[in-house]
Amino acid sequence: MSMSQEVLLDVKDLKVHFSIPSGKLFKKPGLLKAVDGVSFQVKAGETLGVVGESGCGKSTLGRAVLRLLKPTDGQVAWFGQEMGGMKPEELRNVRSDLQVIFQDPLASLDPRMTIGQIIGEPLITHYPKLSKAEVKEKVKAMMAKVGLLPEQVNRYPHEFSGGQCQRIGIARAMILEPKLIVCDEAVSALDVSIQAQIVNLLMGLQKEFGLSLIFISHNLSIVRHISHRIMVLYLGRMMEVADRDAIYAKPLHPYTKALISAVPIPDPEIERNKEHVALKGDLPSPLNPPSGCVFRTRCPFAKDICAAEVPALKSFAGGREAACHFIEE
Amino acid sequence: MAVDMEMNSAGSAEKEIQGRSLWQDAFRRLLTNKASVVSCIILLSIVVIAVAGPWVHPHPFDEVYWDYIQAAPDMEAGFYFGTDTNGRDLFVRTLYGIRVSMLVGLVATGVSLIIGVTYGAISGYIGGRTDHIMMRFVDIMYSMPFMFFVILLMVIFGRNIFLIFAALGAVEWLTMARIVRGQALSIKNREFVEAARASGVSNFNIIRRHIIPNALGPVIVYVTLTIPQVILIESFLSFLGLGVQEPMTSLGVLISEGAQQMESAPWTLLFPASALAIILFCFNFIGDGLRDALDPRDR
Repeated sequence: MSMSQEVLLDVKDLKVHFSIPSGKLFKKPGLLKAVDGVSFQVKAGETLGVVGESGCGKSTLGRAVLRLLKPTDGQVAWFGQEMGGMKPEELRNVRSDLQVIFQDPLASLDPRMTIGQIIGEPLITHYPKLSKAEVKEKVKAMMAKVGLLPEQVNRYPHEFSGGQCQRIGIARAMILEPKLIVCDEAVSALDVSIQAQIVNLLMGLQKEFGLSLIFISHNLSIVRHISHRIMVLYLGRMMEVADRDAIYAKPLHPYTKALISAVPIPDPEIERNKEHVALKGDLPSPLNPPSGCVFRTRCPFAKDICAAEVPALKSFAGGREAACHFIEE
Repeated sequence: MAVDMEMNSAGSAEKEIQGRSLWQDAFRRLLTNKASVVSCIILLSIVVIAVAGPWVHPHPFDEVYWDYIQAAPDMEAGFYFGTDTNGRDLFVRTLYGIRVSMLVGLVATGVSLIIGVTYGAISGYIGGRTDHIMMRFVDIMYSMPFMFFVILLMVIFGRNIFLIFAALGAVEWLTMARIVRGQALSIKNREFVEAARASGVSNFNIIRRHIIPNALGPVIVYVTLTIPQVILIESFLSFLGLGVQEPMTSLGVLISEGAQQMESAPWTLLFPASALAIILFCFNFIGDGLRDALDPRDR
């Protein structure tokens, strides 16, 4: 991606901490650092893939960007304007440019509403002056665009399949023609064949409307297909961020290396002979993360310094960044 | 739903496939439940007779017939249910009793429905400290002795049917608020509510459009079970002499009077008591049917 593009979203040192009741009287509640010091930018028309294991803070990050959660610390700036300091009306205006697609297609649609009402809801919220006929017309146009039959506008969500429900979710997110959509595991709950259709639909819409995506997923193959840049999270911290091709060709961080080597290659000959970096152990409890580098307990290269010092995010050639003590160019 | 109506009526020029909503599904399931359907029919007929009967019937409810003091049922004279100790026609008095009891049941339940749903939905959706404070208030109200509360109201304001509405409504909304709050707590974390928040829908509209319609299933069931409960409480109050005032009557008053003449004039107890029992049975069967229809997972 070239440098000339406009920066839509600028996230600096974002932290989201939850206090977890200990369950015991007189004992201090634990602090869960779901997202701890994450910084990144999203430019117009680009897709940022966010990958990591379950519980590494991917979804929390998405929710904090959408301000469904209040961040504990750090800045989220939309077109250079800090969202934390916005008045409710300003935030409402930003929300028309910032939409979300959820993981569970059926759960993200209100079962008591028709498809037309669901897709039209953002429209009547932001343009209350539109007549019912105009709303319906726009809804139908959007339904056609995402591959739904417009005459099904009066049907209810339980009458559709998972893939169709996800298309409805996409239509709802697209109806205001937003600038950025957060896709929170948007295809993980779907069949593989449907996943491809939905991803291609998203990429088509991105091309047509010049939209940016934050694509949160644990499926590395899909992230590779859709993303321009990829960010790797581990226990709420950033491990590495780089352009797609660079990160898949030469991952810098040991965690990224392990992740990428775990992606199966659909050719048994290559798959059998390729180098696997198997990680030992489980993800440590986020309530009690390791000192220093959070990845050190599972890192094959860990040394004493890793336990003592938190590695800073260092910049490398090609605009990539990684947080490890032992990376040399 | 008002929203349904708004949207469905718009622009139906082209051929649009009409989906079947969850409400329509539930209604179909209800129609397959024989006990509920029969109960509905019986209840409707009782209501029609109670409303229209006194117009057609020759005897007014408060006239004393000196020749027929405590007379047994007599078809020729038009005293179908006989007369009471004061020589008044029991049939028409029972119809008036049904009217009053139904009215008390519906109005008090309606009041509790409006207050309870609003209160519970707000408390559950906002959550946190607001929720705590609002629910502790409900707990405090719960712990007030109800009979004492009613007697106090009667002493201060005198006997008045609207006081009974108010008193019953003030007590019944508490349970409703708890039910709706519980529903709201689970619905507000569903993804469709997050999607609505993310697209900037106001809290008021989220509660109105998403929380309340989705919480309504258990509420409707509870309503059909509250109506008979309220009718019973009213009968109880009337039995104690705290209910409606003579010559107006309610089923509770009639039963109370009938119980005193149980041995010499059993019909004065039998007819009002059966009317009450039939109404309560009908409401309970309808409530049962609705519960099965609205929540098919339980079967």
